[in-house]
Amino acid sequence: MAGLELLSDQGFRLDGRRPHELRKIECRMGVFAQADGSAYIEQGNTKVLAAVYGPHEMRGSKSRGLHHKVLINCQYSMATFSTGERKRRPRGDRKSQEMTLHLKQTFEAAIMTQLYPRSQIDIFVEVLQADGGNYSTCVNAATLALVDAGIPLKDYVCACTTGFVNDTPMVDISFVEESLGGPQLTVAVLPKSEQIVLLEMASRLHVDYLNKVLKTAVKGCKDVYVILDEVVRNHVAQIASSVGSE
Amino acid sequence: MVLERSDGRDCWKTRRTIINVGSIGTAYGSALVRRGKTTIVCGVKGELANSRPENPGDGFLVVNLDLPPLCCPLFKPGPPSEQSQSISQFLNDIVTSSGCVVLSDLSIEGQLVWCLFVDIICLEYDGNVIDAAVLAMLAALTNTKLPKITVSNDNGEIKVSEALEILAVKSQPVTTTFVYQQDGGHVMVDPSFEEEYDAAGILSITLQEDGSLVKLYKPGGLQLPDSVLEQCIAKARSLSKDMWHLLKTVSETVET
Repeated sequence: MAGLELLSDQGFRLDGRRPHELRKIECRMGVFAQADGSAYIEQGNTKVLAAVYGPHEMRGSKSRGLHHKVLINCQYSMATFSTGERKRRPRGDRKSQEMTLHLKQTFEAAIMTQLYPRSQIDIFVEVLQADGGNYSTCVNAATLALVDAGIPLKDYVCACTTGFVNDTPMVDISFVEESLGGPQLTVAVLPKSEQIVLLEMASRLHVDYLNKVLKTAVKGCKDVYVILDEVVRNHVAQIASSVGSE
Repeated sequence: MVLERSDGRDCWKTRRTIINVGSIGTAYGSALVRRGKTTIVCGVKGELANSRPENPGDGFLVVNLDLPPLCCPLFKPGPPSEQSQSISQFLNDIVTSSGCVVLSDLSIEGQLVWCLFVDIICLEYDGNVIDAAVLAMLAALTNTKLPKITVSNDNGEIKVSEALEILAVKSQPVTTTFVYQQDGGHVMVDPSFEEEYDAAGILSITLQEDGSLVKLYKPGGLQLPDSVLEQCIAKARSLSKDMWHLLKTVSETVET
């Protein structure tokens, strides 16, 4: 695309960020009373809401229950008005199904599933406004909602989508940066142990660059972790003070 | 006898209502409404379409309500429930009968018209989604700005300009919902989830500013004496005034 340069000569991106800079993250926990845990997160213009129900008894067919661990049920949904062009179906299309599966796989790796056999945990995420990095934002939102619900996790799960332009990895890419092509690598990690729970890359990238991009992505995840951790600590402190004052 | 409800409200008192407009940048118009804990977001998106031959020059307005499993532990994942479909129909009826958006205003040129999708999502369900959904729909439509479309005479090329035009909203239908117990007694306005669940019957009254009735809706339930119906309509009339005032305040603060 002529006229659009993802990375200027001065090393700035389209929205004025440096390559290693995240978008502004704003989040709140415990936004809803009905859910056992809930969170709202904004990463730049991507806005996601997550709600967690459970662990509770199996709903629907009891036979789906697993005898050695909890069943994690996810649903990824995008509001029809969240994208530039109206989405026909909020969920159930192939992209959403894929996202649902990825979320499920990510959180199966992070939740202490063995603690609740024959039970179920529901994780619902709703994208209200999409501007790139949807999966990552959903993972971050779901992590906060799980923490809010008090579900035992091995660690936070932090995710970050990284692009690669002009030999430079760019962290937390926006929709424009996503749609102008180039390789992008999505990674979800447990930040303390730096273990990777999910890694996805579509499109070609020379293997020599992989390490560089991955390193930047993991650094991005760790930056996200610092922000999420602060939010959790503030939230818990607030609850503690309101309980103490009664 | 003064009855107190589980949340300490008087029988004729609605919960606190909050309206926030324009919070979703990807939509042409949007609104978030909170009624107590019930939370609704509404986004308006437009698509270009060809008008039907039987009503040339008339656009389309489609309202859809989604009750995802996220909003309440009782809702299950799957196709839209009967409840959400019946409320969607209710909202479509209100649009048609109140004429709040005149369909011929949605025409662009020749056969080309706007097809507006008003998509409403319930984020938290604590009873009385109908009232909140109607408010959200109205606030979002009032906040809607559509890009100006021009069709070139030579080759029929469609041009979308940066300039935005405000969508004209002609009337403001507002719904007030009541529940009652057996024999039409213990009428309560703006039921919470618990009250809605335990009610013997439910009654929704939709009014316009000029005082005319737009829709009456009493889906099944126990029989209701005429006197109670009249009482409810009178109450709805006075309670709707607050909502019109709120909608007016919202639109005024946004414009300035």
